Amino acid sequence: MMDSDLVSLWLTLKLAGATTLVLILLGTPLAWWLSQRSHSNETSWLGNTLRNIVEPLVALPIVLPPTVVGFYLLLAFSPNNLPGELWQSATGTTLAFSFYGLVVGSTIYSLPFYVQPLQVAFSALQRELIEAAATLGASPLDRFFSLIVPLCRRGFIIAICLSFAHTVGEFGIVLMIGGNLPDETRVLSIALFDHVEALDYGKAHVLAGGLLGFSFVTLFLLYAVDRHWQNSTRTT
Amino acid sequence: MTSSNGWIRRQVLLAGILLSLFVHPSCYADHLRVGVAANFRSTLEKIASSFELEHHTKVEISAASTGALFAQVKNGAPFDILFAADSHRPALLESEGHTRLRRTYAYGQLVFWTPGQPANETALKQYNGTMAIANPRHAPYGKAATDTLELMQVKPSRLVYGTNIAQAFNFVRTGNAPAGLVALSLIRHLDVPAIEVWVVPAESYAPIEQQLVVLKNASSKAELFVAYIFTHVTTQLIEKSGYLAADASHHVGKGTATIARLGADR
Amino acid sequence: MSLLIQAKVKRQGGFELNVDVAFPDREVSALFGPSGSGKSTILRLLAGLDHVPGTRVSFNKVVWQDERTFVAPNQRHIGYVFQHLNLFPHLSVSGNLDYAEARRQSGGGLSRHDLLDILNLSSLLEKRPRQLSGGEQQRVAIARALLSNPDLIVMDEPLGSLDQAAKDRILPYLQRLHRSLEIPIIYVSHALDEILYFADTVFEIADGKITGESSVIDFSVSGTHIGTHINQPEAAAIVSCRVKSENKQYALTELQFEDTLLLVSAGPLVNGESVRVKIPARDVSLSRQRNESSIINVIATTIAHIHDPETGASAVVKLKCGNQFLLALITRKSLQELRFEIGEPIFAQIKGVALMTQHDS
Repeated sequence: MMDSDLVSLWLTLKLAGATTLVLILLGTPLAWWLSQRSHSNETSWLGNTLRNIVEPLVALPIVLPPTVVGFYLLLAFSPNNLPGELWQSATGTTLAFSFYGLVVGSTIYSLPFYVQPLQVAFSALQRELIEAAATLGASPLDRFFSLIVPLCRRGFIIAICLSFAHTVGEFGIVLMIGGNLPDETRVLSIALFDHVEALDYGKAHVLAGGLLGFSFVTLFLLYAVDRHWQNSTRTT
Repeated sequence: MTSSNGWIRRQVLLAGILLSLFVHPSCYADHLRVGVAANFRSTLEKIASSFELEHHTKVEISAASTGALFAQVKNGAPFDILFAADSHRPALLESEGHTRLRRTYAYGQLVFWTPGQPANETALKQYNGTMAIANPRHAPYGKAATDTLELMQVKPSRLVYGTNIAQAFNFVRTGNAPAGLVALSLIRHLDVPAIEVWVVPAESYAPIEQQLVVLKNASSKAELFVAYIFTHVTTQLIEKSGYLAADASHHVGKGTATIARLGADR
Repeated sequence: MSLLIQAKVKRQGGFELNVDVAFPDREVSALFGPSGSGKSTILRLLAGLDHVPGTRVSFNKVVWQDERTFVAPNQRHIGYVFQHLNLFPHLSVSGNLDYAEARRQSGGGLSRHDLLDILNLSSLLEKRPRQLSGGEQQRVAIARALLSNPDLIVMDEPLGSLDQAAKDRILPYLQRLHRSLEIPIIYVSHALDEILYFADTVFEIADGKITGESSVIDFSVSGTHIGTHINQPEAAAIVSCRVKSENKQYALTELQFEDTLLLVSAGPLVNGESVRVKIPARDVSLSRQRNESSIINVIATTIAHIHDPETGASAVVKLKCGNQFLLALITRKSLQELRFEIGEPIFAQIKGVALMTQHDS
């Protein structure tokens, strides 16, 4: 691979890593909140209504074309509008054409790939186990790390792998807001597109094949690990 | 429990309805299928509608990126004429034997645009902020932009590439890039105050030749349409849209200086 | 009187809980009632697992919940034993115990060693919960709850998912624990035999309301008990005795019961120890004379009450002996033919080896 393509590879991995990290921090509490639908009290009506709105919002990026998300992001990032203006006054640069802008876009776009598997795992938790831990003196944060995370290991792994892989393949959003800067926003998918547009099919094959191989290997390993877990840990 | 008469009538009616769905107005007479690069599309639509009025031949237009059109034609898409945004790919098509005619139909004009600021040669030479241009690797406007920047020794702090000239234009329009080297045709589309725009002199860059090709198996009406492109009325329309019209006598657009100075108005 | 709860809870489907209860200190308080009567609801409110506004809970004068306060469950130091799904499946038995020990409240309490001993868990330490039987799982759950050194223990039908044999094995463990601890235990069950075995005070609950509060001894001979459990094999009287002496020759132990003696199979009993004895009503028959009979325990009593349900085959006679009572389950036919009268002196024949001995603290 050419030098610039290596840089693109590094950018891609950096973007996927940063996005996944942001998703772990923001998406985990979101997935938890969504999974805690309360059925007993009257006071939970508001919470459930909010969930009814937020859940489809989270799922939107699965069905929306990335160009739609990219279009709105481009508008939002503009210094003529509030979010872009705030960013500019805080940092002096635009969100568009920057790595941070890509992280914002990818986080939004990969959000459902992180939140949904995790939400499913959380919903399957047996409430009594968490209550038992509470009675043994575990605070909410303690319960989360000592009990919920180990019990939902599978959900976490799936969520992390899916959102990472999805971001690696991210194209539409980066195309709309990236600006194709070699050291900052030219990720692998953009480099590939460039090669094709310039009729440089040789280089395009290398990148496309690489991306395809990576995605396949990731998913293959994911399924394999999952099977191994199913077999060895038949949980009660 | 229907009478056999009524049942047959119903079937005939149904068949008739179905058949009529397949009947296409263009099946009746000769019609032309034309592919056009996105940035020339609106101009071509105006040309096509007056052609239809005059010659009673329908023109069906598909717009896409030049690259996409190119790939489609190579794979047998049934176009009669292709209006590309460059000259490189039409030449390729010709060398591979897909065409029977190739001609330059317009020259793109590059402008320097700074929304909210006055634009002129000095402003461009002194500009050191973020600038948006089309990708020079595969977009002719992009190559023209880099030619210009090099010639005038402009040093923007950041050079941002749009995947095509429309995207570069959009970067500037949304305010994400304070300045850009974009197409005059796009400026004309929007009602941009004249003071924000400076037309880059054509000799600053290699001409942005936009060429058309008539494909090998095209309808006989194709040449008629091509000739129409070079009529006075049409060339005026093309220039009003922000391009420089090409001379009908030039088959392969090589001569730069003379053509570039033709009709370069503001 | 240190654990107090006042609660009014409405649920979908019309169920309403309305209680105002004070649980005694240092004792096993049983919440006894049918399924759906509100027992588990009360426990969950006590522990703070359900937060219903308007509830008031306090323990040892510390307010756990009122209009302005709510103490989280993890700060209440309650040992809670659930009916099932207790143990953390991703940890071994040892790991589960570690979990409790790491969050243990400081200051006394049973040590890990003590608990392993009392509940006989040493051989199970490396196993995973799914490899344990129901009874073993519950023993581990109990140990884990105690390992956190709680100030109060709450058990929600802990033996509910066990078969009779497993239950019989665990109940003695519970007794041993009760003796080793000085903290109150709230025990919820709808099974009469567990209540009679283990409880000190019985709170009867039905349809979301407390319908009675009595010592287990009084409860066992109470009208409601007799009336509802007349035909159940567990129906029994609980009486209090003191160990008198051992008869080594016949492998028997003598218990002082009011003015007479009861003979039971020799067991690990200590002289002078106060014990509680359960005498199933089915094992008591009545006779106007002291006969020569193989039945070893014959006691002089007075008929205190006759309960004839007017249908079915059985009737219950309540007998007074000193300050305590016994129950005898007899056929209505015999009742009719023998024409017993209230106040009449009568001999109660108790089949000796049918007595089950329990230890009082």
